[in-house]
Order: sequence, then C-alpha cells, then structure tokens
Amino acid sequence: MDTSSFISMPAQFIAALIFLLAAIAFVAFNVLVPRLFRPIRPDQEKLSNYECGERPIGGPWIRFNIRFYIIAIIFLIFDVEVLFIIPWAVVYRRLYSELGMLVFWEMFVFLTVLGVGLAYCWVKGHLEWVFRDKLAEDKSKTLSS
Amino acid sequence: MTSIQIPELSFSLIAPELILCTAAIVILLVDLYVKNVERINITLLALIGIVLAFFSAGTLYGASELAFSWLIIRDDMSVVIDQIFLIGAALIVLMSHHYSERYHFPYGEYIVLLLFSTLGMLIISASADLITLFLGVELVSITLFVLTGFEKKSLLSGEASLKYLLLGAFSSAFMVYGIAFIFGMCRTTNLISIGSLLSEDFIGSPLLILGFALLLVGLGFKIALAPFHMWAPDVYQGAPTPITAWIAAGSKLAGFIALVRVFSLPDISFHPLARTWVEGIWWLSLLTMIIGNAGALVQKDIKRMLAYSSIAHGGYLSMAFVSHNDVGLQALLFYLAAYLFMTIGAFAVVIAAGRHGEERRRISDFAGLAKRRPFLAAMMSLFLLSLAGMPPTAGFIGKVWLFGSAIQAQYYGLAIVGILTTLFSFYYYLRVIVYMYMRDEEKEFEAEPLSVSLTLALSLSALGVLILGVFPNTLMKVITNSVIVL
Amino acid sequence: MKTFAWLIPILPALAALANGLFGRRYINEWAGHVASAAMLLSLLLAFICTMIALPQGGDFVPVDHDYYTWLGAGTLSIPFGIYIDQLSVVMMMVVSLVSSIIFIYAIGYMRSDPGYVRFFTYMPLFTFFMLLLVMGNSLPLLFVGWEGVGLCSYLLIGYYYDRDYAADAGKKAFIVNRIGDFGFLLGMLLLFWFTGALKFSDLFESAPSSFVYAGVPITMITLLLFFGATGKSAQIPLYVWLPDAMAGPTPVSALIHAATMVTAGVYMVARLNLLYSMAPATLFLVGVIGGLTALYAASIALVQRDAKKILAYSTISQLGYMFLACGTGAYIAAIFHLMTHAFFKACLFLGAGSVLHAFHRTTDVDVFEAGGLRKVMPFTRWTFLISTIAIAGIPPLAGFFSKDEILWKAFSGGHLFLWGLGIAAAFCTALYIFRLYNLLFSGEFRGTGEQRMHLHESPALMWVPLAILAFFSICAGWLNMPLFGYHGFHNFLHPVTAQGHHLAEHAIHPPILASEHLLEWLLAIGSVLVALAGIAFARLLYVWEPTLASRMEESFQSAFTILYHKYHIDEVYDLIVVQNYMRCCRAAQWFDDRVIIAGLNGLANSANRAADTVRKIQTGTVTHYALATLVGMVFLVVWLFLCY
Repeated sequence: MDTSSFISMPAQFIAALIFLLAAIAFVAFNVLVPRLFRPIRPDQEKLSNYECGERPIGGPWIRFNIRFYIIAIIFLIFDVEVLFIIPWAVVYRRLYSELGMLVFWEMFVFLTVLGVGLAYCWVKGHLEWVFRDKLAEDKSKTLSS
Repeated sequence: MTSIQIPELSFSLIAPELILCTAAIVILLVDLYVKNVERINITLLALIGIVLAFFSAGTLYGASELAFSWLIIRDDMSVVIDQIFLIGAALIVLMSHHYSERYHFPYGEYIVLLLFSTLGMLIISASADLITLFLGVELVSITLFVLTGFEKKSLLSGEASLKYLLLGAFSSAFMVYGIAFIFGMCRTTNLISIGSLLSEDFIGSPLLILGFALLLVGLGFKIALAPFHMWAPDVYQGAPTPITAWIAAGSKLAGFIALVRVFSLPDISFHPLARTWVEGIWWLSLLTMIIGNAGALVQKDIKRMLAYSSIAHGGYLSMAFVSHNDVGLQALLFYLAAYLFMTIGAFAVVIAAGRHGEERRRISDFAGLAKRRPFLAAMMSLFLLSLAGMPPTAGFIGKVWLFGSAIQAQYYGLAIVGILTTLFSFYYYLRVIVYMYMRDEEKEFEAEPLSVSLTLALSLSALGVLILGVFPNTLMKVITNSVIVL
Repeated sequence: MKTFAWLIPILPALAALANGLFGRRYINEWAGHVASAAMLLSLLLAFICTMIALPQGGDFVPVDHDYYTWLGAGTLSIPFGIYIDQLSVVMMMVVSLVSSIIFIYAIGYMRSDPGYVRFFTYMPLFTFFMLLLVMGNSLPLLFVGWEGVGLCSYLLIGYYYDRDYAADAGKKAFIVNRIGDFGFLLGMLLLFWFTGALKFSDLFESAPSSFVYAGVPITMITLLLFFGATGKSAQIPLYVWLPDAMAGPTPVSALIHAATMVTAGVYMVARLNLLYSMAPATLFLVGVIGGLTALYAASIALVQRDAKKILAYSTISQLGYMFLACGTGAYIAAIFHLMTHAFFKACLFLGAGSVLHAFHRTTDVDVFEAGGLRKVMPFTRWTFLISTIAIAGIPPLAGFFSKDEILWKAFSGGHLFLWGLGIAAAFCTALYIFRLYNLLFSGEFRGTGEQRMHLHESPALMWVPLAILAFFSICAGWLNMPLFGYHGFHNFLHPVTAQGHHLAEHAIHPPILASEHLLEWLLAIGSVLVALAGIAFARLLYVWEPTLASRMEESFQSAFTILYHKYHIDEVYDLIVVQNYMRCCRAAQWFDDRVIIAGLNGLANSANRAADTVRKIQTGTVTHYALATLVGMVFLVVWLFLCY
C-alpha cells in the first residue's frame, strides 16, 4: 500500500460531502417548493397521523406486544441469511471445482446453526401468536400426573 | 471477473472456539428435546466442553500464526488467555449449578448463554482484526445483557439488565464509530496492517486519534473505567451472583485483552499516537483508582462493594497501558489471572453464605460468619486479602509487578496514587473480615449446606490464589515467553 | 542424591500437615507415631546421604540442585533448591537424629497432655524448617527456615498458653528474635546489593571479587548477619529470651532450645565462613562475644535453682564456645562442638525432663527440693551422669574432644584472652553441671513425703532415647582426635572452609609440629585438671560438706545475689530498653494522636467526602450515566487532541 494516498484521504471525503449536500438540497427542494404552489386546505383526516391505512386510536406511547420484537428479530435473522446464501449460490460451481465438498459443508453448518435457532423458537412456542409456555405446561402435567 | 481469493482455512487453530460452540449447541438441543433433563447432566456437558476446549488450546502453544485472511491470530498469549478464560468459565459453571438450583433458572438456556459469552471472550483473545474484535465484544455483551436479567422475579435484576443493555448499546456505538474512523484513515480494519502502517512514517490525521479515542471509550465502558463505569455498581448488584462474578472477572478480562490487542500493537511504541493515548489512559487510570476506592468505602451492600473494588482494580490494571512496556504487559496478564481467581472466589463465598430468598447482601449480614461457617469465613478472608494485595496471595505479587512496571516507566505519580488507594482499600476489605470474625450475628442465619459444586469452585479459586501467590513462577514463565513472542 | 534429598525436609512437613489437618479427628493418639515415623524415614534418607558423602570425604562434590524457581525477575532469582555439602550433611544428620530420638521420647513424655496433637503438629513443622535452614541453597531459603524455626519456637514456648508466664516467654522470644532478624535481613539485602547473588554457590564465587579484604561493606554485612545470629543463638546482648523459653515442654527445650534451633547462628556463620574470613574485625567481635557469653552464662548457671534454667544458661555458655571457635577461624571445631553438644545437651534436658516427669511437673523443678534420685531412677541417673561428664570435658567423652579443640585453636591462634575466658568457663561448667547432678541425684531426697511416694523411673519409651543419646555423648567425640593424630571430622569438613582460610591470612592453621603437639597435650591435660577441680569443688560443696555451700553463700551474699538475679540484666534491660521504649512509645502515641491521627482523620474525611461525591453522582438514572459517558468521551477526545 502506498502511504501517500492516505495523507490526501480527507480530500476524498469531499465527494461524500457533496453527495450529502445534494441529498439535503433535493429533499429541501421537494418539500419547500411545492409549498409555494399547492393549495392549503387542512381537515381532520388530513391532519391525523398516517398509520398505513389503519385508523389511529389512542396515544402513540403505548406498550407494544413484546411478540412484535421477537417476530421481527426472527425475521431479521432469516432475512440476513439470504444475504449469505445468494452470493454463495452464485459462485458455488466455481468454488466447488476448487474446494470440493467443503463449500457445501460450510453452508450446511451455517444453516444448521440457524436451524437450531429456529427449532428453539419453535419448541418454545415463539412462532405462535398466542403464547403457550410449553415447558410450564409440561411441568404442570408431570406434577398433576 | 477477478478470481476469488480463497482464504486458507485452518480450523485446527480455532479448535477451542469450535469445541465450545459445539458444546453450547449440543446443550441447547439436549435442553430442548430431552424431557426433564437433570441439571447435573447439563453441568457435566458444559464442563466436558470446557475441559476439551482447554486441552485443545493447550496443544496450540507455540503456534504463532495468522489465519482466516488475518482475522484470527493464534499466538501464545491468546492461548494463555484462552486457558484462563476457560478456567474461569468452569468455576462459574460450578457456581451456577448451585445458584440456579436455588432460584430455579431455566438452566439449559442459562448455561448455553454462559458458554456463548465464553466463546466471545475466546474470539476477542484471538482476534487480529477490529471486526473480529467487535464480534467478540458484542457476543460477550449481548449474552451478558440477557444473563443479567435472568432472575426474572427480581426487580433489581430486570433493572440491571435494562441499564446494562442501554448503556452497552450506547458504548458499542462509540466503539463502532471509532472503528469506522480508523478504517477511514487506514483503509483497513486489520490490526496487524494498522500496526505496520503506523510503524512506518505514516503520521495520519487527527481523525485517527479520534478513532482510537472512541474505541477507547467503547472498551473503557466494558472494563468500567471511570467515567464510563457508572453502570457497573447497579448491574453488579442486580445480576444473579454467578453472573456478577462473570461480569467482574470474565468480561473485564476480555475488555482488557481487547485493549491489549488494540493498544499494544507491535512496532508502534514510538509513534506519536502511542504517546498520546498513554496520556489519555493515564487520566482514566488515575480517576478510576480514586473513584473505585472512594466508592467502595461507603458501600453497605457486599456486591456493590465488590463492584467498586472491581472498578478500582480496572484502574490498577490499566496502569499497564500507561507504562507501556513488556513488564507492564506481563504484569497485566498475570494480574488478570490472579484477579479472576480472587473475584470469582469472593462471589462464590457470597453465594455460599446465603440461602433461597435470603441472601447475605449487606456487609453487616456477614457478622459472625466465622463462628457459624469457619470455612466460608476463612475463604472470604483469603480472597479479600488477595484483593487487598497481602502476601502470600496472588494479589500481592500481581500488584507489586504492576506498580513496578509503572515505576520502571517513570510514572511515579501514578504508582504512588496506586499504592495510596491500595492502602485505603484495606479499610473496606478488612471491614468485612472484622464483621466476620469480631462481631456477633444479629439474628440467626443458617446458610444452605455447602454443595459439592460450590465447594469445588471455592477450593479451586482458593488454590489458584495461593498457588499464584506462593509459586508465581510457572505462570510468570509462560506469560513472559508469550509476551516475547508478541 | 538430588532425586530423594528433597524428601528429607518434606517428610516432617507432611507429618505436620497430616497432624494439623486430621489430627483432632482421625489421628489422635497416633499423632506422635506419625511424626516419629516420618522423622525416622527422614533420618534414614539423611543417613543414606551421609553414606554417599562420607566415603568420598573431602572429595565429595557439593550437590547444588534447584527444584523450582520460586521467584525470577531480572537478576533476582530465588530458587527452591538444596545445597548438600559436608557441612549440610553433618547438620542434617544431627538435626534428624536428635529430632527422631526426641520425638520418640516425647511420645512417652507428652502422653497424657491434652495438647498432644498440637504438640506433634508444631514439632515436625519445626524440624521441617530446621532442615530447610540447613539444606537450602540460598540465603533467602535459609532465612525462610530461620523465620520458620523462630515461629515454631514461639508456638512451642507458648505451648501452655493458658499460663501467663509461658505466653509472656513466647512473646519475649519472638520479639528479641525479631530484633536480631532485622539485622539478618538487612545484612542479606546489603549482600545482594553488593554481590547480586543470593545462592550460596554464586555467593562463594562472587564474594572474593566483590569485596575488599577487611573493607567496610563486608564488615557491615557480616556484623549485621552476626547480629541476627546473636538473637537466634542467644548470645550477648540478645540472649535474654532463652532462659525464659524453658516455659515450653521439656522435649521442646531439648530439641529447639538446646540441640538444633539455637545452633542455627553457628551454622550460618560456618556456612558463610568465606565472608567472615574476609572481615577480621567482625571475627574478633564474634570471638569476644562468644568468649564473654561462655563465661558470663556459666557464672549465672552456678547459682540457679531451677534445673531447666541451669541447663538453659549452660546452653548459652556452650553456644558461646562455638562462637568463640568461629571467632578464631576454627569453624570446623565450632561445628564439631555443635554436634557433640547437641547430643549431650539433649540428653541432659531429656534427663531433666525425666525428673520432671517423676515430679509430675511440666516446666520447672527446684533442685533443692530434689536429691537422692539415683535410687529411684537408675537409668535417668546413669545417662545423666554420662552426659554430665561429657559436658564437663572429661576424656574420653565427647565434650572433652570438641571443647579441647576449641581451646587449643584459640591458644595456638594466639588468642590468649579468649583462651583464658574459655578455661575459666570450663571450670564453671564443670562446677555448675556437677552441682546440678549432685543436687538431683546424690544425697537424700529433700522434697515432701507425698512427692517421694510418687517418684518413679520413666517408662522405657523415655529412657531408651536417653540411653541412645548417652551413647552418642560418649562416642561422638571420637570422630576427631587431634591429640592422637586423627583428623577424620576435620578432613571431611575441610573443603567447606578451605576457601575462607585461603582468603584470611591470619587464620591459617599452623602445621602441627612435634613441639606444638607436646604443648597441645599439656594444654589438654591442663584443661582436664581444671574440669576435675570444678567437679571436686562441686562434690565438696554439695555432697561432702553440704553446709559449706550455705556458709559460702552467706559470706559472699552480694555476689550470690547478683548471680542469682542473673546480673540483674533483665532489670537493666527493663530500665534501659523497655522503659525507654515505653517512653518512646508514649511519645509516638502522642505524635500518633496529635499528628498522624489528626492528619489521617483529615485524609479519611476527605476520602469520605470523595466517597459521598461518588455516591451522589451514582443517581441510578440511566440518562445520567449516559451523560457521564458522553462528557467523559468529550474530555478524553479534547485532551488527546491537545496532547497530540
């Protein structure tokens, strides 16, 4: 690596800076300029919060069901999984010619680890919306019997 | 289309990590699918995994290699540290076996998380890249966030977990931000490359300093350096006691190892950067020693007192980065090992001295323990004296070595503050001993009988403290050799 | 040898460990057997070592082996290792042999004592430290043993801890020894400072080049080390603890305060003879202190009433002889006397113990209450008589040969003053020891009728060890008989002192010429005559003409009183040292109260304020914590930029 390029590095941030400024200018333009031309006739429907078509009821600062988060996390994991699998699938043939079955087994292990996670969620009942604590039920069953 | 560079895959170099990971997954599956699995079997599985990992680490001595496209470094230092981590993990598993029975934790998950946090620590010790390092740090942090909140019925535990999570995320952000700056300046996240880059005439810009400063803040949070220590007392107090021990010993150790990996890069001691961050750590170390010891003086809760004591120890330990020489690094590694044993031991006594629903939490609860449970009192005294730095315990040797390194590097002021604050620390350590031996108990308090696992954990810790105190040379030799390799 | 030699000290340590940990619960009355068995094994191993070393004689190459490096940092390296040369072999044999015999004796003697297990925990522990002391291959290791035996001595003097005088005696011994140890430690540090070596082998190599002959550093060092020796070996001025140390059980007095521990100082001087040979001024002082102590203690022993006190002063006096020998450069003679003394003094003490046993007492018996014991205690009487003759210096018993060699070395070395002191002390020795014997065993019993009823001979477990010791008291002297031209012991030990002699110009032993040999004979006969005179005088005073003693006491009232009160040294010490010390203490207390405490209180207050601040900052609110982190980060970054 030649070190001289590092010294001039901050200069290269100018590109990013310009990009940033352009983005701000773009948004500002689109927000401000129409304001000059459009008619302003507010009514109650228009002033209410936009909730993807749902009718907003009650305050926004309420407790959300914790289930939302868990589902979101599980979704995220499998979403990211795709990020790994697709590039892998693309170059699979070529890697196979060089590394052999190792290529397959690596992804297999990766998916197994994820699979264990999924199995865990499943067994614990996290994939069902109505939560049942299976372990607690098992315990009470063994206790009663 | 450029050809894909296939990194060399040296799985044998990460055998300890692989074994630990496998053990964790196996336990998870066993816990899921085997009905009513006995607690003891899970403990045994975990111990088997840890022991196997320990021995597989032992076979790696003398490897000194970089692997996985320079993501992993396997040198003697990482092996020593791995083994220390694994010993600590084994002790914590033994303690947890007893404690989880008392409070009916979902034991399988608990152990799995514990093993994963250990895995994170192993990754930190073997990381040669900021990305690997971050991965390890986060693995440790996230598992500990969960473990801290494991005492579901306790409000304190939940509060501690939430605080830990929020502030942990806060500090992780600093860390990532720092890494981004470093990457921006050096165009690499590889520590070896950064090291060699800095050892050339590359001066860098102030932004590089910013990057390292932010990294220092992030890691300083993990090891509770003042003023990033605020979370520690609350979290230590709220977490289940074995987890408190693991945060105090394991997580702190891991943070320091991360710092070693980042701030003791080879060949760059003469870089202006090195001088600069020494200035920064000097202040942090000073502040931490004073705040830690001052805070411990007035605590009434034993776990909180030990939390401040742990903060204070972070101050002593970071002195090694100030002295920034081989001796300092060796002393740091030695003291970390010693510190692990004495801290875990002290918390083990706290567990053993209580019973379900009625823990000995306040220091005054320890009154008369010597009469009721002489063994526990003796153990507690041993660990506290070691923490205070009395010969012939490990704490004494470690402190002498650490302060010696600061003196050798001519940071007399820091060494003097270290010695003075150590003197103050005698007050609060001895107070517990005074309570145990010279006060009568206020009310009848019969602790649970000592279980086999807890006895084992206690005696192993005590053995560690004494062996390192009386025969420090074996570990010293290993450490000295490993630091030379570095 | 190195493969098993480490077992020699470790075996007693294991016995101590076993008795200490499991004694109360499992071992109980077997504690004595455990300790004795370990000791006998250890003796066997020491004997094997001797058998290896002895045939090679002076050619025996010292075994110097490090088992484990205890501490290694830079140039400082403190190993756990052994150094076995001729000197160590002799010491090992003496220590393990006398210990074995006394342990066996103690099984009988301590039988009915409630602290039996405790006793047999401390005793092997003591032996461990003593063996460590004589076998260690470095000065720090020697010091560990040195402190260790001191600790055990303290524990065993205060064995009857429920009695005030025993506890006080223990404290006194400990404090006085600590004063000496301070000198020792200082000397050791100075030595390391100058030579950079602490291992004996390194020390012997580097010392000749590191020091100037008779220079200030070497004199300082040897003086400091000798100061340590005066504490441990009870010499003027630090001897005061030993007579009080008799508060411990008699086997303790025999083993620790007569045969082994108190000789540690002599061993140390002999071990470091190379250094002492380079410091003639120190050697002179050693000789003078030794000679003065020999006469001084012997004179006190003349009038004491307690049997064990008499023997204690006798021990101090005999140790004085050894230092006298060291002072004249005759280290081998000192070690020789150390060995013979160990046997006959142990025998005397155990004999006294046997008498105590008959009286059902634990620590002290007034000799004027005894008498005529020869009839009831034949074994004790005969063995006591043998060792009495031995210490008095009558040929062909052990004491004669060793004492005579010391006197001859003093005379032939030109130290006539020291020789004079030695001869005078020899007279006193014969007098006080036969006074003791006569009062105990001759004449008629003077105690109460009830006591007479209970008098009995000790069991075989006790008198057999006495017989063994008596045997050695007879024979041990035959190892070295320069009078008859036999120098076995001297030749064996010669390599230990050869280098030192080579260095010290003045201490070269003149070759024994025919005329000098004649002189040696004459002197020997002279000293025997002196001893006989002492014996005869004692016989006259206490057997033939018992009234003469009291008449003499009346006419020399003041002298007797002074002697009986040990020259009032305890009082003088109290006046000069203790009172002044107390005054200093009060001054220190004033200083402490007014300055230190006040200062500390100020410091503590500020610490408390700091602690309060820390507590107040710790609000428990997460946002505050995050804020602190943020502020800290900003300060850190700014500071780093400023430094950059």
